[in-house]
Amino acid sequence: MIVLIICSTVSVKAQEQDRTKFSPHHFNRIQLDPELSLFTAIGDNFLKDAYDLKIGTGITASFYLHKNWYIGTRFLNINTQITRPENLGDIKKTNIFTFGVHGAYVYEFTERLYLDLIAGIGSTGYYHDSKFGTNFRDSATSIWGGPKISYRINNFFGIFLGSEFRRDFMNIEVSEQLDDYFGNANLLSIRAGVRFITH
Amino acid sequence: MNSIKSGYTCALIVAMLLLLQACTPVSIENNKRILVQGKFVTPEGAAIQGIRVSTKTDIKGFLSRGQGTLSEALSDENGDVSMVSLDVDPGILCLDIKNTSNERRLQSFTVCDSSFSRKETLLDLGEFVLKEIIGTSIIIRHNSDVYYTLRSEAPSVRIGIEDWNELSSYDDLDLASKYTTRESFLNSENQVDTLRVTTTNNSTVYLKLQSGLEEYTYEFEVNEIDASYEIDL
Repeated sequence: MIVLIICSTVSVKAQEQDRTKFSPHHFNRIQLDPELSLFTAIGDNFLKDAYDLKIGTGITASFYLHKNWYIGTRFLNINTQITRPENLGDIKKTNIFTFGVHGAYVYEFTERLYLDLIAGIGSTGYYHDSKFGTNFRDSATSIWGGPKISYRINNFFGIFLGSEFRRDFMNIEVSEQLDDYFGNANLLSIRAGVRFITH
Repeated sequence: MNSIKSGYTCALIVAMLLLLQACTPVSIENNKRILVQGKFVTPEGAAIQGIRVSTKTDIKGFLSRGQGTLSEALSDENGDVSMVSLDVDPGILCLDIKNTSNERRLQSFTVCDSSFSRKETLLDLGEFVLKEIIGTSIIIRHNSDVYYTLRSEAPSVRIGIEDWNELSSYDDLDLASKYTTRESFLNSENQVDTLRVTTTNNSTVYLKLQSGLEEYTYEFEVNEIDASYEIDL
Protein backbone atom coordinates (compact mmCIF):
# COMPACT_ATOMS: atom_id res chain seq x y z
CA MET A 1 0.00 0.00 0.00
CA ILE A 2 2.76 2.41 1.02
CA VAL A 3 4.73 1.43 -2.07
CA LEU A 4 1.66 2.08 -4.23
CA ILE A 5 1.08 5.51 -2.69
CA ILE A 6 4.75 6.42 -3.10
CA CYS A 7 4.73 5.11 -6.65
CA SER A 8 1.66 7.05 -7.68
CA THR A 9 2.89 10.24 -6.00
CA VAL A 10 6.29 9.96 -7.63
CA SER A 11 4.66 9.05 -10.90
CA VAL A 12 2.29 12.02 -10.92
CA LYS A 13 5.05 14.43 -9.90
CA ALA A 14 7.47 13.03 -12.39
CA GLN A 15 4.97 13.03 -15.22
CA GLU A 16 4.71 16.77 -14.87
CA GLN A 17 8.47 17.11 -15.32
CA ASP A 18 8.58 14.36 -17.85
CA ARG A 19 7.02 16.24 -20.67
CA THR A 20 10.52 17.33 -21.56
CA LYS A 21 12.91 14.43 -22.03
CA PHE A 22 14.18 11.19 -20.41
CA SER A 23 17.62 11.61 -18.96
CA PRO A 24 19.79 8.67 -19.99
CA HIS A 25 21.50 6.51 -17.39
CA HIS A 26 24.81 7.91 -16.23
CA PHE A 27 27.59 7.48 -13.67
CA ASN A 28 26.52 7.70 -10.01
CA ARG A 29 22.82 7.24 -10.68
CA ILE A 30 21.22 5.06 -8.03
CA GLN A 31 18.25 2.81 -8.54
CA LEU A 32 16.16 0.89 -6.09
CA ASP A 33 14.18 -2.17 -7.19
CA PRO A 34 11.72 -3.70 -4.73
CA GLU A 35 10.40 -6.94 -6.16
CA LEU A 36 8.15 -9.94 -5.81
CA SER A 37 9.31 -13.31 -7.19
CA LEU A 38 7.67 -16.60 -8.00
CA PHE A 39 10.02 -19.55 -7.56
CA THR A 40 10.11 -23.09 -8.70
CA ALA A 41 12.79 -25.56 -7.68
CA ILE A 42 14.23 -27.77 -10.40
CA GLY A 43 16.37 -30.90 -10.39
CA ASP A 44 16.53 -33.85 -8.05
CA ASN A 45 17.24 -32.25 -4.69
CA PHE A 46 15.74 -31.59 -1.29
CA LEU A 47 14.31 -28.22 -2.29
CA LYS A 48 12.37 -29.71 -5.17
CA ASP A 49 11.26 -32.80 -3.22
CA ALA A 50 10.38 -31.52 0.20
CA TYR A 51 9.34 -27.88 -0.24
CA ASP A 52 6.59 -25.90 -1.78
CA LEU A 53 8.11 -22.49 -2.52
CA LYS A 54 6.00 -19.44 -1.87
CA ILE A 55 6.30 -15.87 -3.13
CA GLY A 56 9.64 -14.24 -2.48
CA THR A 57 10.21 -10.61 -1.63
CA GLY A 58 13.39 -8.70 -2.26
CA ILE A 59 15.04 -5.41 -2.83
CA THR A 60 18.10 -4.44 -4.80
CA ALA A 61 20.04 -1.19 -4.66
CA SER A 62 22.27 -0.44 -7.63
CA PHE A 63 24.84 2.17 -8.52
CA TYR A 64 25.63 3.06 -12.12
CA LEU A 65 29.34 2.97 -12.97
CA HIS A 66 28.60 3.89 -16.53
CA LYS A 67 25.44 4.41 -18.59
CA ASN A 68 25.55 0.69 -19.52
CA TRP A 69 26.87 -0.84 -16.31
CA TYR A 70 25.80 -0.96 -12.72
CA ILE A 71 26.69 -2.85 -9.59
CA GLY A 72 24.66 -3.32 -6.45
CA THR A 73 23.48 -5.33 -3.52
CA ARG A 74 20.49 -7.57 -3.22
CA PHE A 75 18.43 -8.91 -0.37
CA LEU A 76 15.91 -11.68 -1.00
CA ASN A 77 13.56 -13.64 1.22
CA ILE A 78 11.77 -16.79 0.10
CA ASN A 79 8.93 -18.24 2.16
CA THR A 80 8.38 -21.97 2.00
CA GLN A 81 6.04 -24.70 3.05
CA ILE A 82 7.40 -28.14 3.93
CA THR A 83 5.65 -30.97 2.14
CA ARG A 84 7.85 -33.98 2.97
CA PRO A 85 9.53 -33.63 6.37
CA GLU A 86 10.89 -37.19 6.26
CA ASN A 87 13.28 -35.95 3.59
CA LEU A 88 14.57 -33.13 5.78
CA GLY A 89 14.28 -34.04 9.45
CA ASP A 90 11.57 -32.73 11.75
CA ILE A 91 11.43 -29.14 10.54
CA LYS A 92 8.34 -27.03 11.03
CA LYS A 93 9.19 -24.03 8.90
CA THR A 94 11.97 -22.71 6.70
CA ASN A 95 12.73 -19.23 5.46
CA ILE A 96 15.45 -18.65 2.91
CA PHE A 97 17.38 -15.39 3.08
CA THR A 98 19.97 -14.29 0.56
CA PHE A 99 22.24 -11.29 0.66
CA GLY A 100 24.67 -10.67 -2.14
CA VAL A 101 26.16 -8.43 -4.76
CA HIS A 102 25.40 -8.23 -8.41
CA GLY A 103 26.50 -6.55 -11.59
CA ALA A 104 24.61 -5.84 -14.79
CA TYR A 105 25.03 -4.76 -18.33
CA VAL A 106 22.26 -2.48 -19.51
CA TYR A 107 21.14 -2.44 -23.12
CA GLU A 108 18.96 0.47 -24.18
CA PHE A 109 16.26 -0.37 -26.71
CA THR A 110 14.58 2.98 -26.46
CA GLU A 111 14.74 5.82 -23.99
CA ARG A 112 12.00 4.04 -22.05
CA LEU A 113 12.78 0.37 -22.59
CA TYR A 114 15.90 -1.35 -21.24
CA LEU A 115 17.26 -4.83 -20.92
CA ASP A 116 19.47 -5.59 -17.89
CA LEU A 117 21.62 -8.72 -18.05
CA ILE A 118 22.36 -9.48 -14.44
CA ALA A 119 24.73 -11.84 -12.62
CA GLY A 120 25.22 -12.05 -8.90
CA ILE A 121 26.76 -13.96 -6.04
CA GLY A 122 25.76 -14.06 -2.41
CA SER A 123 25.41 -15.86 0.86
CA THR A 124 22.21 -17.75 1.63
CA GLY A 125 20.85 -19.02 4.90
CA TYR A 126 18.09 -21.60 5.16
CA TYR A 127 16.68 -20.68 8.55
CA HIS A 128 14.69 -23.56 10.04
CA ASP A 129 12.29 -23.73 12.98
CA SER A 130 12.49 -27.22 14.40
CA LYS A 131 9.57 -28.85 16.17
CA PHE A 132 11.46 -28.29 19.44
CA GLY A 133 11.01 -24.59 18.90
CA THR A 134 14.73 -24.08 18.45
CA ASN A 135 16.18 -22.61 15.32
CA PHE A 136 19.07 -23.78 13.22
CA ARG A 137 20.29 -23.09 9.75
CA ASP A 138 21.89 -24.48 6.65
CA SER A 139 24.13 -22.17 4.73
CA ALA A 140 24.93 -21.93 1.05
CA THR A 141 26.74 -19.86 -1.53
CA SER A 142 24.40 -18.69 -4.25
CA ILE A 143 24.97 -17.56 -7.77
CA TRP A 144 22.28 -16.22 -10.02
CA GLY A 145 21.81 -14.69 -13.39
CA GLY A 146 19.11 -13.64 -15.81
CA PRO A 147 17.54 -10.89 -17.85
CA LYS A 148 15.30 -8.12 -16.62
CA ILE A 149 13.29 -5.86 -18.88
CA SER A 150 12.48 -2.47 -17.46
CA TYR A 151 10.17 0.21 -18.65
CA ARG A 152 10.66 3.79 -17.51
CA ILE A 153 7.38 5.54 -16.87
CA ASN A 154 9.24 8.75 -16.19
CA ASN A 155 12.64 9.96 -15.07
CA PHE A 156 12.20 8.70 -11.53
CA PHE A 157 10.00 5.69 -11.74
CA GLY A 158 9.67 2.51 -13.77
CA ILE A 159 8.56 -1.08 -13.67
CA PHE A 160 10.37 -4.28 -14.51
CA LEU A 161 9.81 -7.94 -15.29
CA GLY A 162 12.53 -10.55 -15.34
CA SER A 163 13.49 -14.14 -14.96
CA GLU A 164 16.37 -15.71 -13.16
CA PHE A 165 18.21 -18.97 -12.70
CA ARG A 166 19.82 -19.50 -9.34
CA ARG A 167 22.01 -22.23 -7.91
CA ASP A 168 22.66 -22.67 -4.19
CA PHE A 169 25.82 -24.59 -3.33
CA MET A 170 24.86 -26.05 0.04
CA ASN A 171 27.31 -26.50 2.91
CA ILE A 172 25.39 -29.38 4.50
CA GLU A 173 27.48 -32.26 5.84
CA VAL A 174 25.86 -35.52 4.73
CA SER A 175 26.74 -39.11 3.92
CA GLU A 176 27.87 -39.77 0.37
CA GLN A 177 24.46 -41.27 -0.50
CA LEU A 178 22.92 -37.84 0.06
CA ASP A 179 25.69 -35.76 -1.49
CA ASP A 180 23.76 -35.02 -4.66
CA TYR A 181 20.46 -34.59 -2.88
CA PHE A 182 21.71 -31.99 -0.40
CA GLY A 183 24.69 -30.77 -2.43
CA ASN A 184 22.93 -28.02 -4.28
CA ALA A 185 19.55 -26.55 -5.06
CA ASN A 186 18.42 -24.97 -8.30
CA LEU A 187 15.69 -22.41 -8.68
CA LEU A 188 13.96 -20.70 -11.54
CA SER A 189 12.07 -17.53 -10.87
CA ILE A 190 9.97 -14.85 -12.47
CA ARG A 191 10.46 -11.49 -10.80
CA ALA A 192 8.50 -8.29 -11.12
CA GLY A 193 8.64 -5.00 -9.32
CA VAL A 194 8.95 -1.27 -9.47
CA ARG A 195 12.06 0.79 -10.05
CA PHE A 196 12.95 4.04 -8.35
CA ILE A 197 15.64 6.07 -10.06
CA THR A 198 17.53 9.06 -8.71
CA HIS A 199 18.68 12.14 -10.66
CA MET B 1 22.95 2.57 46.65
CA ASN B 2 24.26 2.44 43.11
CA SER B 3 26.15 -0.77 43.79
CA ILE B 4 22.98 -2.41 45.14
CA LYS B 5 21.12 -1.35 42.01
CA SER B 6 23.81 -2.74 39.71
CA GLY B 7 23.84 -5.93 41.78
CA TYR B 8 20.10 -6.34 41.20
CA THR B 9 20.59 -5.65 37.50
CA CYS B 10 23.31 -8.29 37.30
CA ALA B 11 21.12 -10.82 39.12
CA LEU B 12 18.24 -10.01 36.79
CA ILE B 13 20.43 -10.50 33.71
CA VAL B 14 21.75 -13.83 35.05
CA ALA B 15 18.19 -14.96 35.83
CA MET B 16 17.05 -14.02 32.35
CA LEU B 17 19.98 -15.86 30.77
CA LEU B 18 19.15 -18.96 32.81
CA LEU B 19 15.51 -18.67 31.78
CA LEU B 20 16.61 -18.32 28.18
CA GLN B 21 18.71 -21.48 28.57
CA ALA B 22 15.67 -23.25 29.98
CA CYS B 23 13.54 -22.17 27.06
CA THR B 24 15.98 -23.40 24.44
CA PRO B 25 16.57 -26.93 25.67
CA VAL B 26 18.21 -28.46 22.64
CA SER B 27 20.54 -27.19 19.99
CA ILE B 28 20.30 -28.67 16.54
CA GLU B 29 23.52 -28.79 14.65
CA ASN B 30 23.73 -26.44 11.70
CA ASN B 31 24.62 -27.77 8.27
CA LYS B 32 24.28 -31.44 9.19
CA ARG B 33 21.97 -34.32 8.31
CA ILE B 34 22.10 -38.02 9.18
CA LEU B 35 20.79 -40.69 6.86
CA VAL B 36 19.10 -43.54 8.74
CA GLN B 37 18.40 -46.63 6.69
CA GLY B 38 17.75 -50.31 7.18
CA LYS B 39 15.50 -53.23 6.46
CA PHE B 40 13.35 -54.97 9.07
CA VAL B 41 12.79 -58.70 8.78
CA THR B 42 11.54 -61.62 10.87
CA PRO B 43 14.00 -64.39 11.83
CA GLU B 44 12.60 -66.26 8.81
CA GLY B 45 13.59 -63.39 6.52
CA ALA B 46 10.12 -61.98 5.83
CA ALA B 47 9.89 -58.19 5.49
CA ILE B 48 8.12 -56.35 8.30
CA GLN B 49 6.03 -53.35 7.41
CA GLY B 50 5.05 -50.62 9.85
CA ILE B 51 8.14 -50.50 12.05
CA ARG B 52 8.54 -46.96 13.27
CA VAL B 53 12.10 -45.67 13.41
CA SER B 54 12.67 -42.39 15.22
CA THR B 55 15.71 -40.39 16.10
CA LYS B 56 15.26 -38.70 19.43
CA THR B 57 17.27 -36.68 21.84
CA ASP B 58 17.26 -36.00 25.53
CA ILE B 59 16.32 -32.42 26.19
CA LYS B 60 18.34 -31.16 29.10
CA GLY B 61 17.19 -27.67 29.83
CA PHE B 62 17.75 -25.83 33.09
CA LEU B 63 14.18 -26.32 34.18
CA SER B 64 12.91 -29.00 31.86
CA ARG B 65 13.84 -32.45 30.71
CA GLY B 66 12.13 -34.62 28.18
CA GLN B 67 12.46 -36.31 24.86
CA GLY B 68 11.93 -34.86 21.45
CA THR B 69 11.74 -36.44 18.03
CA LEU B 70 14.18 -35.29 15.40
CA SER B 71 12.81 -37.45 12.63
CA GLU B 72 10.68 -40.53 12.15
CA ALA B 73 9.57 -42.87 9.39
CA LEU B 74 7.78 -46.20 8.94
CA SER B 75 9.16 -49.23 7.16
CA ASP B 76 7.42 -49.93 3.85
CA GLU B 77 5.99 -53.19 2.51
CA ASN B 78 9.52 -54.40 1.72
CA GLY B 79 10.58 -53.69 5.29
CA ASP B 80 12.80 -50.86 4.11
CA VAL B 81 13.13 -47.61 5.96
CA SER B 82 15.11 -44.59 4.88
CA MET B 83 14.90 -41.16 6.43
CA VAL B 84 16.89 -38.02 6.87
CA SER B 85 17.40 -36.91 10.44
CA LEU B 86 18.63 -33.79 12.14
CA ASP B 87 21.47 -34.01 14.64
CA VAL B 88 21.95 -32.41 18.04
CA ASP B 89 24.92 -30.50 19.33
CA PRO B 90 25.46 -30.82 22.23
CA GLY B 91 23.34 -33.81 23.20
CA ILE B 92 22.81 -37.50 22.82
CA LEU B 93 21.08 -38.97 19.83
CA CYS B 94 18.81 -41.95 20.43
CA LEU B 95 17.44 -44.38 17.91
CA ASP B 96 14.01 -45.73 18.74
CA ILE B 97 12.61 -48.79 16.94
CA LYS B 98 9.01 -49.78 17.63
CA ASN B 99 6.36 -51.90 16.01
CA THR B 100 3.17 -49.99 15.20
CA SER B 101 1.09 -53.00 14.23
CA ASN B 102 -1.29 -54.49 16.79
CA GLU B 103 -1.27 -57.86 15.06
CA ARG B 104 1.78 -59.12 16.88
CA ARG B 105 4.16 -58.10 19.59
CA LEU B 106 7.66 -57.56 18.36
CA GLN B 107 10.84 -56.51 20.05
CA SER B 108 11.43 -52.81 20.45
CA PHE B 109 14.74 -51.08 20.94
CA THR B 110 16.00 -47.74 22.13
CA VAL B 111 19.69 -47.18 21.65
CA CYS B 112 21.27 -43.95 22.79
CA ASP B 113 24.82 -43.11 21.96
CA SER B 114 26.67 -39.84 21.86
CA SER B 115 28.96 -41.31 19.23
CA PHE B 116 26.02 -41.35 16.79
CA SER B 117 26.37 -37.65 16.45
CA ARG B 118 29.44 -35.44 15.93
CA LYS B 119 31.03 -37.67 13.31
CA GLU B 120 28.39 -39.89 11.83
CA THR B 121 26.30 -38.91 8.85
CA LEU B 122 25.05 -42.44 8.20
CA LEU B 123 23.27 -44.83 10.53
CA ASP B 124 22.92 -48.01 8.54
CA LEU B 125 20.92 -50.60 10.47
CA GLY B 126 21.48 -53.21 7.77
CA GLU B 127 19.07 -56.13 7.86
CA PHE B 128 17.54 -55.79 11.27
CA VAL B 129 15.89 -58.93 12.66
CA LEU B 130 12.95 -58.36 14.98
CA LYS B 131 11.72 -61.33 16.95
CA GLU B 132 8.26 -61.93 18.29
CA ILE B 133 7.87 -61.56 22.02
CA ILE B 134 6.84 -64.68 23.93
CA GLY B 135 5.01 -64.02 27.16
CA THR B 136 4.22 -66.42 29.98
CA SER B 137 2.15 -65.62 33.05
CA ILE B 138 2.78 -67.36 36.35
CA ILE B 139 -0.17 -66.81 38.65
CA ILE B 140 0.60 -67.40 42.32
CA ARG B 141 -2.15 -67.76 44.89
CA HIS B 142 -0.89 -67.37 48.42
CA ASN B 143 -2.19 -66.59 51.91
CA SER B 144 1.03 -65.39 53.41
CA ASP B 145 4.04 -63.29 52.44
CA VAL B 146 6.17 -64.93 49.76
CA TYR B 147 9.73 -64.22 48.78
CA TYR B 148 10.56 -65.26 45.28
CA THR B 149 13.59 -65.56 43.04
CA LEU B 150 12.92 -65.78 39.34
CA ARG B 151 15.88 -66.58 37.14
CA SER B 152 16.33 -67.27 33.48
CA GLU B 153 19.34 -68.27 31.47
CA ALA B 154 18.20 -66.39 28.40
CA PRO B 155 19.80 -62.95 28.31
CA SER B 156 16.78 -61.27 26.77
CA VAL B 157 14.19 -62.34 29.32
CA ARG B 158 12.18 -59.61 30.93
CA ILE B 159 10.44 -60.29 34.16
CA GLY B 160 7.55 -58.21 35.30
CA ILE B 161 4.81 -58.25 37.84
CA GLU B 162 1.09 -57.98 37.20
CA ASP B 163 0.62 -56.86 33.68
CA TRP B 164 2.22 -56.03 30.39
CA ASN B 165 2.21 -52.31 30.96
CA GLU B 166 4.48 -52.56 33.95
CA LEU B 167 7.24 -54.20 32.01
CA SER B 168 8.71 -50.95 30.92
CA SER B 169 8.75 -49.52 34.42
CA TYR B 170 12.09 -50.99 35.45
CA ASP B 171 15.01 -48.79 36.13
CA ASP B 172 17.16 -48.74 33.01
CA LEU B 173 20.32 -48.83 35.08
CA ASP B 174 19.29 -52.18 36.50
CA LEU B 175 19.87 -54.02 33.25
CA ALA B 176 21.57 -57.08 34.68
CA SER B 177 18.79 -57.98 37.06
CA LYS B 178 16.15 -57.04 34.49
CA TYR B 179 17.34 -59.59 32.06
CA THR B 180 18.51 -62.44 34.28
CA THR B 181 17.20 -62.53 37.81
CA ARG B 182 14.54 -60.85 39.82
CA GLU B 183 14.13 -61.23 43.56
CA SER B 184 11.26 -59.67 45.37
CA PHE B 185 8.46 -60.04 47.80
CA LEU B 186 4.77 -60.77 47.37
CA ASN B 187 2.65 -59.25 50.09
CA SER B 188 0.00 -61.49 51.68
CA GLU B 189 -2.62 -58.76 51.24
CA ASN B 190 -2.81 -59.39 47.49
CA GLN B 191 -3.36 -63.16 47.75
CA VAL B 192 -3.06 -63.47 43.96
CA ASP B 193 0.02 -62.16 42.13
CA THR B 194 1.08 -62.62 38.58
CA LEU B 195 4.65 -62.83 37.41
CA ARG B 196 4.94 -62.24 33.73
CA VAL B 197 7.99 -63.47 31.91
CA THR B 198 8.65 -62.27 28.39
CA THR B 199 11.40 -63.25 26.06
CA THR B 200 12.15 -63.43 22.37
CA ASN B 201 13.86 -66.82 22.63
CA ASN B 202 12.54 -70.07 24.01
CA SER B 203 13.99 -70.34 27.46
CA THR B 204 13.74 -72.08 30.79
CA VAL B 205 12.75 -70.05 33.80
CA TYR B 206 13.48 -71.15 37.35
CA LEU B 207 11.23 -69.93 40.14
CA LYS B 208 12.00 -70.30 43.82
CA LEU B 209 9.27 -69.40 46.31
CA GLN B 210 9.77 -69.11 50.04
CA SER B 211 6.75 -68.89 52.28
CA GLY B 212 7.58 -69.06 55.96
CA LEU B 213 9.92 -72.00 56.37
CA GLU B 214 8.68 -73.74 53.26
CA GLU B 215 10.62 -73.47 50.02
CA TYR B 216 9.31 -74.46 46.58
CA THR B 217 11.17 -74.68 43.31
CA TYR B 218 9.56 -74.67 39.85
CA GLU B 219 10.83 -74.83 36.30
CA PHE B 220 8.92 -73.43 33.33
CA GLU B 221 9.50 -73.56 29.63
CA VAL B 222 8.75 -70.22 28.05
CA ASN B 223 8.20 -71.20 24.47
CA GLU B 224 4.74 -70.17 23.38
CA ILE B 225 2.93 -66.87 23.17
CA ASP B 226 0.64 -66.07 26.09
CA ALA B 227 1.10 -69.32 28.03
CA SER B 228 -0.09 -69.37 31.61
CA TYR B 229 0.80 -71.40 34.73
CA GLU B 230 -0.88 -71.36 38.11
CA ILE B 231 0.63 -72.13 41.51
CA ASP B 232 -1.42 -72.59 44.69
CA LEU B 233 0.62 -72.33 47.86
